[in-house]
Amino acid sequence: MEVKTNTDRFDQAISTLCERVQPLLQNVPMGVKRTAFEVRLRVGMPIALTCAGKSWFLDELSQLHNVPLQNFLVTSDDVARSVVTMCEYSVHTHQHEFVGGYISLRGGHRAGVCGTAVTDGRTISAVRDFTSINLRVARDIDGAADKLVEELFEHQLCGVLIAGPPSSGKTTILRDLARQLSGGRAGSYYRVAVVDERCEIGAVYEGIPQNRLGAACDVLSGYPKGPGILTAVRTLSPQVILCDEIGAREEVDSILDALNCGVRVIATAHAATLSELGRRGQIQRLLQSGAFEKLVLLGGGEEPGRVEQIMGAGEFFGKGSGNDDYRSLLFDDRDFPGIGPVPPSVGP
Amino acid sequence: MSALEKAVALLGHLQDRMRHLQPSMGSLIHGACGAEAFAQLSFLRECDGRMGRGQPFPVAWRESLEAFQDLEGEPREILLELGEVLGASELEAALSALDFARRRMELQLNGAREHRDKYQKLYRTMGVLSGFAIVLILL
Repeated sequence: MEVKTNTDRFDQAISTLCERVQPLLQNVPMGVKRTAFEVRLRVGMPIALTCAGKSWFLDELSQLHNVPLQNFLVTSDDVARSVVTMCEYSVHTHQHEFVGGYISLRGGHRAGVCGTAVTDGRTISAVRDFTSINLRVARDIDGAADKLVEELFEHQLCGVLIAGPPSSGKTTILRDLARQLSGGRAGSYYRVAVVDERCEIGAVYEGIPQNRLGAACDVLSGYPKGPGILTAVRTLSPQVILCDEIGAREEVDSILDALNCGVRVIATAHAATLSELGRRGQIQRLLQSGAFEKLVLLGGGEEPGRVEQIMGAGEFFGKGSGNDDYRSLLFDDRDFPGIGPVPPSVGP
Repeated sequence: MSALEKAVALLGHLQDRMRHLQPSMGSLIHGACGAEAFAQLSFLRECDGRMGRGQPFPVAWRESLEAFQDLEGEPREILLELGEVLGASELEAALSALDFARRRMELQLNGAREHRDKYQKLYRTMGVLSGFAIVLILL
């Protein structure tokens, strides 16, 4: 299937679901296909769609309601069959993903799966009896990061932490940043390494990236973020490393190691407000170490990708509006090769 | 019987590949149909082609086997049952199903070999006796 528009992407995503629910979703209005970014199947409940931050429920005639009706309910067989079809009849190749709670699909889509955990002592070894699927339709929005590129990367690279609540467009912006920075749109073809633990940014499927990420971009697909960052620093000599949803101690340690090698890091974190961000211990540790020069806060789910606030990391700690103190704390005002003002003649 | 021997070898091959590489069903079947050792099992090529045209694995496997004439009866049933488990279960379950299918197929093969040996002797003895009878008649 050739994918060009959001409608095509929606059709491609729902083609991974079982035969009983597919026709209902195929017949939803075009406007819904363009804007829906989640399809949810829950056993015993109607199919739900998320558009512009609101949930809608589908009836047997593919009409949307803001309250759940009972005339078409998802069965456990629908969910079980959809899991098998989403895995393209190769469940064994995805079983490690189940443990992490998601499956990466062809086309860059992702399905969160929910069931009963099979535990082996303290760790989850498998998941059985699936009860819900949250199919997230990949939206590859060219230009989603225009504002950030214009305001933060016009003259040089800097470390940026992008924070926002779930479904605020963090991954979409990160993907577009990777594309713009490595594709020459920020004035130079920066060497970008993407540590794509959940295969959402590059969406590599059977060795083929499903999303465009620019000419100078390397993707470490499926690597846990901590080891992935260290591998990137050791083997790819990137100028900037991008990774999604940081927060664990090991990831923070790896980011600090990367910074000591002169590599800038652009990362995202879950937090709806700056105070929420400040309450996350590892994030606070990262900010205090001087890892990020800029903080970006995204708005809520009604308008994914909306930049609500850009601030110097120094401001976050009440060190004034300038970023210079904070920067010198980290880099002692050193210049790193390849990171700095870009000659105006370079670039597309 | 040759097809039966190849089928036993195929199940061992699929088991090994799945254990070590955990490939998708598409690449598992594609790899097997490219192997010279399984050239006689033409249903593999058929299944690979059907999957390449977008048919789901269980349907492609079942329809290819049903059209394959060299295996019938219990051996065919074993492979048909396998198609309902492979790809729809986790690794350990898939490996167990392959192992179980291989053991059942080996029993079929041993039975076929015993049958062949038994009747081979019978036909040989009958041939010799018939020869003597013809000689006696001619004399």
